[in-house]
Amino acid sequence: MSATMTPQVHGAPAAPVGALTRARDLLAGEWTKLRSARPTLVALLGTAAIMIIAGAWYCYHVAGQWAQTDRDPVRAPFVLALLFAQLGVGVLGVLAFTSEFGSGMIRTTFTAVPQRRAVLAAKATAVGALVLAAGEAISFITFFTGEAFLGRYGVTLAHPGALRAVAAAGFYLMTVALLGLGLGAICRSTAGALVSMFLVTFLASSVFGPVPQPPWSYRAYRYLLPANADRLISSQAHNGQVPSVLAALLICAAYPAVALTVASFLLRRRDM
Amino acid sequence: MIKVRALSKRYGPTSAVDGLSFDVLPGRVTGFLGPNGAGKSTTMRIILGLDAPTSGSATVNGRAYQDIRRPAHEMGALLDPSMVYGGRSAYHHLLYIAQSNGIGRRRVGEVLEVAGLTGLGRRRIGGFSLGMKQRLGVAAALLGDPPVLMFDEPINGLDPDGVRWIRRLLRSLASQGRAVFVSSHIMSEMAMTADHLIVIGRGRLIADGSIAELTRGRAAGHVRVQSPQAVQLAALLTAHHVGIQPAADGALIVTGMAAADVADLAAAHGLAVHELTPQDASLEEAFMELTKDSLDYQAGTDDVPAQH
Repeated sequence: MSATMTPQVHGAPAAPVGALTRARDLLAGEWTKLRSARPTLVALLGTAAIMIIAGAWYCYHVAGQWAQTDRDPVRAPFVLALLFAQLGVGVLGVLAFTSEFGSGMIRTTFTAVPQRRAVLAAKATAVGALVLAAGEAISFITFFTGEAFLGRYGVTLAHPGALRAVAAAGFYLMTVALLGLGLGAICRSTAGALVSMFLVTFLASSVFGPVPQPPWSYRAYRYLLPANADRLISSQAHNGQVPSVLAALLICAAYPAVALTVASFLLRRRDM
Repeated sequence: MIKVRALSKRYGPTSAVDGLSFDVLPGRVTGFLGPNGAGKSTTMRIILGLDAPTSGSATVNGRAYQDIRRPAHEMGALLDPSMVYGGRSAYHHLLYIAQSNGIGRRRVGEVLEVAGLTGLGRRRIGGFSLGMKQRLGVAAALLGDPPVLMFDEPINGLDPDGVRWIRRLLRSLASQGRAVFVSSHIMSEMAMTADHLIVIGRGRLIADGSIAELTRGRAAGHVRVQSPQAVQLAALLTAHHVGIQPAADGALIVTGMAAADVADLAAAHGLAVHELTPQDASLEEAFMELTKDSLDYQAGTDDVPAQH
């Protein structure tokens, strides 16, 4: 084709785009989608409400029978609260992908940005940052209300392990949201992703359980997400938990890492 | 420009696209025509990198679409109006595409205006009619001011006003030197907007040429004539070796003579003519002839059995 036939008036020249500019553009785009979808706000508000209320209720409950519990004032505000709150952020993460698959928006997304793994990375960063920030804020409120309901057993942030537990609770919410995001990309349907989510965060721990009946069941339990979340929010290791906080942190992070890796592999190959 | 070379897409034993090759050149509207299920949308999805071809290649401005960063500057595309999240506003939908392609916010307002959606930017897309969603899709395609544009059945769901708007838009985009690629299963629509046609059936290329090339030598057009002196006119035309068939309402269907010549002949012999309609169905007929072997299912008889 001759040069004169090439349109010269329109379009930006195909100038190379720096990696940093590119990352910023994609992140800005994913953030726009996240904040302009109603489920995001609903899921965050729901998570905040259920986590604060469940934390307060549990603390009020154990304060009345303190001697019969594990007597861990750091763990008390979070142990029940996280169990419920993880559902809220899990849904947020799942919907960040499945709402696009369900609506056909995914084709707009991959037309705007055909580099699918870059989309996944930008989405994970946006969802991760939002849930981490919100999760930390919610965790602090949950801690203070919970300690207030513990009455004379309540502690402050200065208590050994308290600050770490609060920070870890927010971090855990982020890992569950990212796990949801990965499962959403893998399953593509909201129902499928939510069921897998439920299996990993709830059902697996009730199957294996912390009671060391057969030794293999006990060993398996140590690698489950809820067991490690529990370790992160406890001031010391309890029955059935891995002894090290760092190990618990790594195991928790491994779940979304594996899900997102599988998702990135599948996204590359699938027709949209 | 778009280059498609030996493109094939198989789903198990069935071929959606089968060895397709064609070019979409700048400065003209290229119509992509074929019956439903011919493989038009599949071809377009492969061009966009959404589906992977079984074999062959498709490039946009010399590169595979998946290798283009900020593709909105290279090609704008409207596949189908359901490519949106209904809960989001039109503005945020466009803002996402703009931001991810390094395009400023101001441009979002501009394309909303071009698409006739000014003032509707803050409305949820879920409440849009099909026609409004089509307009939104066109707005999205224009965001990066690209030299190549691709629209899949853009007039679907548009009202007459919208249809006129899209025809004018396609013409003006091409006249600005852009390559415009438009699919349709409606021949007459293509006759009005396209300069060049690519006709496919069952995933295979049937014809690739200008409209004149495709209609030449095929089913000729005809002229409908109403005259109070139909008998005299018919005799006159027969003398000129022109084919004549009577229509049900007494009109004459004249084949083999242009409308202007029929009028001149009548005037020269002092015959009144009340109606003179060139029937521009030639392209339609050419299309039917081209694709008749490739239809997956044929329509039955035109007669609907009466109920007894």
